[in-house]
Amino acid sequence: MNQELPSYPPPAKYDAISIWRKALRSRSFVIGAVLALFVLIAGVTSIFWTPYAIDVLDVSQRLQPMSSQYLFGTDQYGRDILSMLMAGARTSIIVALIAVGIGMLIGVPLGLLAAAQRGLLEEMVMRTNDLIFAFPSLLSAVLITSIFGPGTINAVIAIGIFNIPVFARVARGGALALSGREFLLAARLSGKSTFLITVEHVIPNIANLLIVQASIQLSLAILAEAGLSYLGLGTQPPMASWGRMLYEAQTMVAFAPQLALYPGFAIIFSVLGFNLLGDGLRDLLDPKMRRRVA
Amino acid sequence: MLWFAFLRLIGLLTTLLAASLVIFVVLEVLPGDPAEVMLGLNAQPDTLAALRAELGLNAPVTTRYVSWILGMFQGDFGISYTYSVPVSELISERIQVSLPLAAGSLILSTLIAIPVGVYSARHHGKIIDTGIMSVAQIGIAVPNFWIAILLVYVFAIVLRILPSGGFPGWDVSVLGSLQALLLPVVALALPQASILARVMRSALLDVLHEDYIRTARAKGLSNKATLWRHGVRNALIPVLTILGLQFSFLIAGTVIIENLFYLPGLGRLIFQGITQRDLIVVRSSVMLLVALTIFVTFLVDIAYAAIDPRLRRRA
Repeated sequence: MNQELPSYPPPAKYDAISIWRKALRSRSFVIGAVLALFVLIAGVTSIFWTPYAIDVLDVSQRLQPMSSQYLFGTDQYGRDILSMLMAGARTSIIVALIAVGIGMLIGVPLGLLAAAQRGLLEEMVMRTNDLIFAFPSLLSAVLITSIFGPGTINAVIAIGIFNIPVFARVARGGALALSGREFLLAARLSGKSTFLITVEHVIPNIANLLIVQASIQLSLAILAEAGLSYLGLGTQPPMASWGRMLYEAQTMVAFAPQLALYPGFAIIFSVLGFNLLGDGLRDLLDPKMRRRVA
Repeated sequence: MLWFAFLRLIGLLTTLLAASLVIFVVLEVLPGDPAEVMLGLNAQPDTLAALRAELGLNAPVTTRYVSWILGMFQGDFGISYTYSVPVSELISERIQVSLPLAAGSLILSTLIAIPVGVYSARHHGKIIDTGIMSVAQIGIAVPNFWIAILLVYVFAIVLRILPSGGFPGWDVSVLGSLQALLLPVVALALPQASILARVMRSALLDVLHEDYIRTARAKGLSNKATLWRHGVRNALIPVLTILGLQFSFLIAGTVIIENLFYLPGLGRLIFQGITQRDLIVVRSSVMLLVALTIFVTFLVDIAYAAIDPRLRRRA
């Protein structure tokens, strides 16, 4: 019983410097990180400072062109576009982070539970997943926000619900792929409970998958928030949202087409950023997945 | 195979049943009194009572649910409160817009994506491949309603060659109807095509590494014939799966796009039903779209299993 275990070499540790070197060579990662960071900084800055207040309408300054005073000009209500874009970045990032957070906090435990327990419980979790997938996401978000009232919080919940099955699926798939591996058997033999094994061994080993998925889900959540706000069901004025800005710009498109350009670019910027970040992270963290998409 | 199809069919029916329950609960149980929701806060008590009687709201919840489901099986979707016509009539009218819209963008995106994806894969690693994939990467990030606004600006406002919205109706003008659908179809198709082109490219690159491709070349088949007969054909399987998954996004996209272009389609019907609080219209048309999505997923599963026998065991 007390036979000494043969000594294995310690597991290869990730070398922080070499990872950074690899990361800086990955074009997707660098571009994605720069774009995402840019949006993040714009959003955080807007909490403390924007060039102009976004809730003050000044019709005398309406539809100003680009100038040193108004970097991107003003909209039909005289609001500074740059300030609106910065505040819109804050809305997008907060909504996306919380919605993806909801999805992870509920989805990952469900997926792990399904993988650990198998049987009836797994079947129930996966069927519920299928059910949520069956509801076209934006359609149900429209339903939810219209029954419970439009607004940022309901938009977050609506988008969050659709992140749950995604993370449940990824977590379960990752955990099932690990099952039968020697280190899990060893942990089991050492007397650890399923719960402890899941926390100590499974979660660290599927963290890569979850991080990559989170990055992709962030970009989808930003698109969803823009769509809901465009329909008037998401963020309400005086709070700024890129989708809402597009909706307001649409009525003015014949006279001031530039108003529709900026929010669109902002959405593309941030969605592209998180998508590229996800691609780059996948290349770095999981070389086997390199060529796969979607 | 038959056993697999049977199991899937059971799954399909269970999901449909569960979906109908969810819709019923969200629309009729959670808001409390549907009559109050439909009439708003300032409704007179007698109007409320009349509507409750008209909608059969005095019956117990289970009875209402069962009669809704049974009615739908008989083609009775209820009578719209705001339009005062049968919902089935509204739906069949609106689907004449939504169906060509969805089908058109599905076809257009496939027509763009497959040649582009194949071309990119054939020039793998070259500048042109990187260029195309960069454009596709951006295309995925572009919201379809933003493309739509730009298309309206260019083709309806500047060039004045296409309408910016509205729909004349097929019986009034076929050409006019086609013109009205052109911009919406393009707006829905472009982001879709970006995703598909990427999938097509990576699927083809995977396939081209397979042994049977080398075998085909070794037996003297030309590069081109190998590519299309053995490469593209096999690479289409994952493309088909993604197409099936994209269907639900397409449905969601029509809600926004139909609103933007003032197209009288199903998505707009649902959106208007929600804003006018016409729950009768909403529950049946949402159920229809959800059923459609579930059915498409079912078809993809079956098609997949028919192509790849290994998947049948997973049922």
